[in-house]
Amino acid sequence: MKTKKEQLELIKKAKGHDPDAFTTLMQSYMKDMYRTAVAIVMNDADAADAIGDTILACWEKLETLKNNAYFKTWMIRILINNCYDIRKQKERLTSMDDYEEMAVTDESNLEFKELLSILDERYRIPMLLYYGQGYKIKEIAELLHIPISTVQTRLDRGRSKLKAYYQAERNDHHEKR
Amino acid sequence: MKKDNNLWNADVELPEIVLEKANDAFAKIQREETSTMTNINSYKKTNRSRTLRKFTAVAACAGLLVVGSVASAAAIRHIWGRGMQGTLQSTDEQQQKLTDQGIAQVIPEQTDYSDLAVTSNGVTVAPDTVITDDKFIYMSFCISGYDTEGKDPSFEFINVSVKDPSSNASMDLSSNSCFYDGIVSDENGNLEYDDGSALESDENDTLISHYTDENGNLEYVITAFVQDQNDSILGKTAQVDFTNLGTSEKADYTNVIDGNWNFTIPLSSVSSDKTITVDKAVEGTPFTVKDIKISPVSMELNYAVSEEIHSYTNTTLPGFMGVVLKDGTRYPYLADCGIDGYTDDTLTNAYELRSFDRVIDVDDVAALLIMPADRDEILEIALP
Repeated sequence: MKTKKEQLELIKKAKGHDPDAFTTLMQSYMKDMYRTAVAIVMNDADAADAIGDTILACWEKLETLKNNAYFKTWMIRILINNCYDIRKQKERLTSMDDYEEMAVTDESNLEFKELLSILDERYRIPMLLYYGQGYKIKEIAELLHIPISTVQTRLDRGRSKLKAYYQAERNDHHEKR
Repeated sequence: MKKDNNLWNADVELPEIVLEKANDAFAKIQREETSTMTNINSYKKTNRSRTLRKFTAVAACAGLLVVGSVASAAAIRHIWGRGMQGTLQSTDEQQQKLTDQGIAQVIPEQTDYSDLAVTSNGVTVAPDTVITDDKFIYMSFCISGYDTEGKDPSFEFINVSVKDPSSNASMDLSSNSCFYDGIVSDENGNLEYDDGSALESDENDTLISHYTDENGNLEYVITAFVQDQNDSILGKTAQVDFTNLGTSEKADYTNVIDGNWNFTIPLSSVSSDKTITVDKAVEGTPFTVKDIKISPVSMELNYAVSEEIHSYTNTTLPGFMGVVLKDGTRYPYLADCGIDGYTDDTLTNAYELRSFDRVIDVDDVAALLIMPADRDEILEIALP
């Protein structure tokens, strides 16, 4: 894992149009990008497209980043927008039910995807950003363009729904015994 | 939730398709950069130098502007506490006006202020600023004697209610609250520190919070609101109870100090609402904004709902986002916490109550910014 100082050095070099530094920088965030993308688009193929688009967009727009320390949030914002663009394009072609079922053909990271599938996207995206990525509520509000109170409400409801789901699972398990 | 929290950031294996697309993008960047450097090397260097010089000049000006702003701010007396100024952003003139009108109460300026402070196990909590309108209260409390040791502070429990002093009837409120961290949103929803400086992160990429002021004190800010559209907070007495103080990490609380800090605060009875009849449809939805009640710190929208709603599977109301002022200034992230819903099961009328993240001069509002539930589009609805 790179230190903060090393990350900032990479960003500085990447801003100077050093493609190797940029590649190393983006590769250090690949897993975070994947978790975020798949939480929105719910399948690996579209997550791959969104990540590819984000890499190119970040390279083109890196000079517009004002504060290097804010790089990850800036990048995740671009990724989220790309994910929603891809979803909009696909929704025009397929029904929502068909779209989310595409995920069942993905064979990797099944436990993580099962967690995602328990929750409606209104809850799972704030939950991922809060618990998975460590963003604070205000940051999530900014990333998703929703009020702070909405983030808090969705985290509350997401926790309740997960609790109810796991409770029901435990009850099923006991009954089967 | 421990199991779930582990899964949210559990290690994942990057699928082959993700690696391929990423590598394609990196290869494209490498190819383009090599081609550019080979064919137009000196031209690019010249352009880059000009861009860098321009950026540096702008940054220098920005630096000067910031210094200038701080210097002039220091010359003006800030009335509200630090936490309240960050939670409900305002100019000095707005703070003065609302305080003069009795809508805002600055507790340290009142007599017998020291009587209102409560000390428990060495930690003193005292009310600082209280702003009241018909449906919302904003309150800030100053906390001294507690060292956060660099962690996120938290009370274990907090309860907010109001009582009608004439009937003694009690009313629970919903609330959002937290320790003030020095981070505010600008008018475009971008986060920055309350002194205007850009955000900073630590070595773990975690945003750095500025919880303490220059005296080492903390502030706790609460926005509380009615749970029923027909209730009012004006003229009531607020009861705020804090229990235990500690730290919080990803919503898990760890206790540090056992304590109870309880407050009874009389609230203003001054109404600051202005009612405006709108009668305009939210385009592409079955909702029409009938009227609004706007105060400097909150909004109530009332909708008429057409019968078309019964053919919708999603009956979610549109969301009030913000306002446009007469001078063209847009505040698309003005709306903060609140409630919404239908007035009854017939679904013919609906409402939304929403607090603000900054004080608004009510007479300056020219239009509402509203987002339909089914699309990411902010509609502008002009006021008559």
